[in-house]
Amino acid sequence: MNFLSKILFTIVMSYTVVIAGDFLMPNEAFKPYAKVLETQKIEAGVTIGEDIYLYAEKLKFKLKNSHGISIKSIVSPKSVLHQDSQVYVKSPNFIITLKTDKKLSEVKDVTLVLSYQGCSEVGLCYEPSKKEFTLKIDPSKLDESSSNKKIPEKVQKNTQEVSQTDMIANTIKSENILITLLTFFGFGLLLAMTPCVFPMIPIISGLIISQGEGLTTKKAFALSLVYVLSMAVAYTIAGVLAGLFGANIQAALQTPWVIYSFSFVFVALAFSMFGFYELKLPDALVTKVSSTGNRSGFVGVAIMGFLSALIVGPCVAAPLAGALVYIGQTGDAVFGGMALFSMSIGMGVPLIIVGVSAGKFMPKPGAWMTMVSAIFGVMMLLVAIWMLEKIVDPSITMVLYSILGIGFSLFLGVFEKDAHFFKHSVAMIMFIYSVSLFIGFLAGASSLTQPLGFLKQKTVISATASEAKKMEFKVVKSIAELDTVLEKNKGKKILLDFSAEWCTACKELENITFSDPKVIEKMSEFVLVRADITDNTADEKALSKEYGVFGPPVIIFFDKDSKVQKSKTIVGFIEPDEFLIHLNSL
Amino acid sequence: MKKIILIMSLLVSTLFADIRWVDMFDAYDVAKSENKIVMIMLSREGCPGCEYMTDIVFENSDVMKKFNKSFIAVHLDIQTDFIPDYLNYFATPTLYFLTDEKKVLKKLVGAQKIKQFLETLDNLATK
Repeated sequence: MNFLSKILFTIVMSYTVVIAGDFLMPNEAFKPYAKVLETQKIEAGVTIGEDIYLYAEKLKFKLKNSHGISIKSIVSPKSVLHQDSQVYVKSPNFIITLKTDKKLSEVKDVTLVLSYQGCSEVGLCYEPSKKEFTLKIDPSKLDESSSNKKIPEKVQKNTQEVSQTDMIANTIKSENILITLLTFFGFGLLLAMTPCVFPMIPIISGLIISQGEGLTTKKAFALSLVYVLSMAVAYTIAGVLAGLFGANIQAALQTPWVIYSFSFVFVALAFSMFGFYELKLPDALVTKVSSTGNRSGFVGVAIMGFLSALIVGPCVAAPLAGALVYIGQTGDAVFGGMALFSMSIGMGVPLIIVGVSAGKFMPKPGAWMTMVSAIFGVMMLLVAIWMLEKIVDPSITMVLYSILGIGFSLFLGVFEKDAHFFKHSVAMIMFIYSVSLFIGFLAGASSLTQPLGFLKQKTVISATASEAKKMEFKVVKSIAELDTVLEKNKGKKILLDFSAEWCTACKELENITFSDPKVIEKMSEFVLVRADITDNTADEKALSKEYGVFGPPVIIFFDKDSKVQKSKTIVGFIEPDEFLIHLNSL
Repeated sequence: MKKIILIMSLLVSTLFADIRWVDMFDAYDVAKSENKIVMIMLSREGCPGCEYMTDIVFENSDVMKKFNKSFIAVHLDIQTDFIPDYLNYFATPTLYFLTDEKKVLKKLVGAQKIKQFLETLDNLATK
């Protein structure tokens, strides 16, 4: 018996329930409240009585009759662990930040529903309860308080779903300046990991090596820095101008004649690398510049940096568009410019490293030099062809690649018996690949990775060719035209592709992604509409503006209720595989 | 054979005595025929006070003895069981004591201490 009572005692002690006859009535135990702060945030919570605790997971806020206002975030107090549940033992106070989906001007009555459940330590649990508050919210102030800027932009509910562009646009909106700039620096670093920056590596190395003898690490660093800075300046100017004029600068830089010119510049640079001639600024200019010190190299480097930014532009279109969308909407050119600047600096950091090492590890003049120059020359030619790829037929670039490859492998000595074994192997592989490319070209293939694909896939290719013709877009050129199409196709999924003749990335999209058989099949589920904004007429501009399109290509998806699925918007070129995944997610 | 099992189980149940729980359907009939008071306990899952009642108070041998003499018990989970209109509650556990004619004799809100609960049982039984 003694033993039993001991057990019982311990059991009783293990319960923390304090039993008392008195208990609070629900209205004494819980006193919910909510009020609107001057910043248009809501302060709400529940004042709890003695020995009362609230379950954290049962405490919820909801908006009713919200007029497009929704909860953006809630700052909650810390809960504590109590008998296996997270609870509030002190009256919890919450700060709720709101956001709007639409631009609203009038003060709105919004109903906040606060639901909660709690228990008392005296040994009872109260039933779940709800309390509604009608609050007056001024949505115009809301925009300011929630994002510090006047942006009628729709903030995404689910960040995971946000498209790349929006992600960047959101970042600029929500954070303070320093964090934003740091974030952009990070974005830049990430961009530097993409192939977008590859074309810049031969440029910077070439420029630095072309400085010739007497190149110190210090100077190499200075040169790289100048290159990166001027690249950054180019982006910044583009961004600021875009902000000021809302013009389609990005797209303008993709026009064929600009690309041909740059391609030509690269060919010229390549030939100078091969030693056909020496690229020099006019003597008069050199003397003029060098009178201010030995800086002739810097000017050239700066110009190249500036130009390279424009070349790579289309490749980094998506994140760039994010920044530009923001600038375009806010008109805050200074801030947007700063953001772009810090992004390009981030992009440039690896380039500086490359530049410095190019200077440091530059060999003493000799046979080595010729080889290094030749390699860079070839790289520049590759860049030249790579740029052309966007505007000319794939088979043409393919034959160019193959000619370049064959030439270079011959230069490396593919048929020379006394060549070094390593060099020989590299040259041989390149030679075989280039020859296959050439055969592929003759056979009408257009894939760089599978030039000989025609050997096994003949039927598929011909099927693709015939199917490709079936992909028909309804072309619209104004909001009115688009609205009619949308009206007609209510209840269907609609894909709206913003495109223009002068937009090279659009051609890429058309030739690569929209020609993929799997993509074609999937796209047949959608009503295909193309907004042609080639002529940049007032109607076309209005159309772009309506859908927040900064420059083509942009693909917008409408759901069955003809509503834009903002988070699904694609900006810039997208690979077929990725696009397929994207389509499947719709 | 059936009888043996029945007797055995009865024996076993008296050995490990327990509060006599009955179904809500039978409660008033049983109460009438045996002249007992119906106690209905309303509880909810995850309510520490309810657990205290079932695990501590109703397991107490004094409570059991006194209870089974003049009471029968019904347990209703407010989330899963049907709660008749005449049983109001704003918290759990809520204990109702009723006559076989559904007349409310006493309503207790919240968990009860053993001593306190025994006194309540005494008062109700002598009525």
